[in-house]
Amino acid sequence: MDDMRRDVIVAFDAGQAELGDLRGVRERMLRGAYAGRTSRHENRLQVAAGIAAILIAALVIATFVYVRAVTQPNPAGGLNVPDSTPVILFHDPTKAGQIDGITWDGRSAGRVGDGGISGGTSNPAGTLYATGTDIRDRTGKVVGPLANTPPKTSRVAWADDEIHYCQVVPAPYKGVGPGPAMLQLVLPGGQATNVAQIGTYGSTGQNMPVPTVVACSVENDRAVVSEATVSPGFSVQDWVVQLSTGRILWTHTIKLPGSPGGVGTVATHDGQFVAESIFSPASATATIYGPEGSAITHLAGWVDAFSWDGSLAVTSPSSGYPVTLIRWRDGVVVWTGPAGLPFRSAKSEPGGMRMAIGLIDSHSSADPTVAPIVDLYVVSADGRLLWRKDNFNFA
Amino acid sequence: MAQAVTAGGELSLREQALTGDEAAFEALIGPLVELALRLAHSMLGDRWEAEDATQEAITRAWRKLGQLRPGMPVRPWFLAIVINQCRNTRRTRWFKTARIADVFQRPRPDQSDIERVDLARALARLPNQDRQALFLHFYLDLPVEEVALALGISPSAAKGRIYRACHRLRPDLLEEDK
Repeated sequence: MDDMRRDVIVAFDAGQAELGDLRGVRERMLRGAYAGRTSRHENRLQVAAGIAAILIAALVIATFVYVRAVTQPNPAGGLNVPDSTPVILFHDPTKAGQIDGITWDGRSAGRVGDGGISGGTSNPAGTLYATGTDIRDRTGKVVGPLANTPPKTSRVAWADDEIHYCQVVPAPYKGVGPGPAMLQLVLPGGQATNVAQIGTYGSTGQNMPVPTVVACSVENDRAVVSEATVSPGFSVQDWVVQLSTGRILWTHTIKLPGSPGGVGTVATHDGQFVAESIFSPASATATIYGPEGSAITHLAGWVDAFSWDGSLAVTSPSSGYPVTLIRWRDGVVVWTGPAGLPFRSAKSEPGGMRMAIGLIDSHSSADPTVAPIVDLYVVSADGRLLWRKDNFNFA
Repeated sequence: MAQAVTAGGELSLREQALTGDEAAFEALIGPLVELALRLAHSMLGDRWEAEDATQEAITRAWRKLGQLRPGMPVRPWFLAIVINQCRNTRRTRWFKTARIADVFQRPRPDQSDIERVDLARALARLPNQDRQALFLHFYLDLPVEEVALALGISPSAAKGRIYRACHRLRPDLLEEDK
């Protein structure tokens, strides 16, 4: 154990070398903290005024919620809407594993089914969802098993035809260690079709990233797959693939210019536009690529999601907030989220222009292993907040 | 690295600090600033982010001083605030971003020291919670009881976490040696 202790200290010590000479740091930080405390003290009156304003707003909202509650169906019942009506599926905050649904206008809600503990990923219209083992419909009935579920499969990425889904699984490989990955297109209850061999699939038990399907579009015959590589150096490679032929339409690799930082990829549902974002503590920038893989525009901020038609993008700065909804072609900000609330997840209304944006509530636990509390904001294309719902986790 | 502050001294300084005495607060928290900065750096992997988090933690410690009960050791209480602050910082992107810590990704200048590199890799593969426990116990030299207080878990859980981390490191090293 002593050897272990010594070796661990040496390893940590090497990492701490960046801190260098710490003389004067204590005084500087304490001064900074006193300054922060003083300004807070001076701002107490303003805070009190703010609290009063919030209380008034809360009263108004409570009245609104009460009026809405008495006119809405009881969420304890089933989801009483036509099968073709798109809904947003979400995890019931009061019952583990329960999946509920709510219409895009927020007026009708109800229970859908269970199986949400180890899954619950829904298709765009909320007509099907995947549990950890199977696919279920809006009544909770099992439609078919999940195909080829290896121990470390990537998550189900639903296609925009609302029926198929894409997934990445290990490709046949006789070697030792990480092998190639296979992009598949799957019809629930049917066979999985191999589309293309893409990226690397880490062997089970290894802490290696698995390629992720960012977009799966049967309607537009393409998928977008992203893979992070941590060694040598950190980079992310994105591929845009034709589903029917497996042909790579274009690919692009981003290398992280320095650390700490991160990169991420999102795409429109049809895979036409792909946003690659890079962030460091100081800044976040994104590049949006078009259908042929050429850069169309560069943005300040991280792109979190696109609207269904691809014209709007949810973005956030390197600090994580405020989250904004922008028209990315001309940079016009149509909506700005509340201060201090970072982005968690978003869904775009299939065939529509509304965006459902989940922001992390300020009352969330600081423990990263605990799922944060997410508040839902449904915003129109012109930036109106249509409705919101607290404690909302998308399925 | 260990800091020893007597309970009586803490109580007295705490009471003085509660009245707004900056010198008392400085005597209470000042000796822990470097530890806090090192801890924050181990969690965030960047000096400037670590400084921001530490400074915010000091401000919070000042505001929460009333929550420091008489007799409660200052060090794990303050380091718990630092850990929470770092988690807040990380959480802004943690769900979707592979975050790179210099500590474990940057090639060491002394590449010939293969063992050290292997250990750094093995450490990098540990879950954050386990790595934090190792850092607090081995690097900052905190006793298990203080590790537990700082992480908000029971002493037996802290002990288990340290043991598990060590156990995970050894197979890694053995595997790398093959």
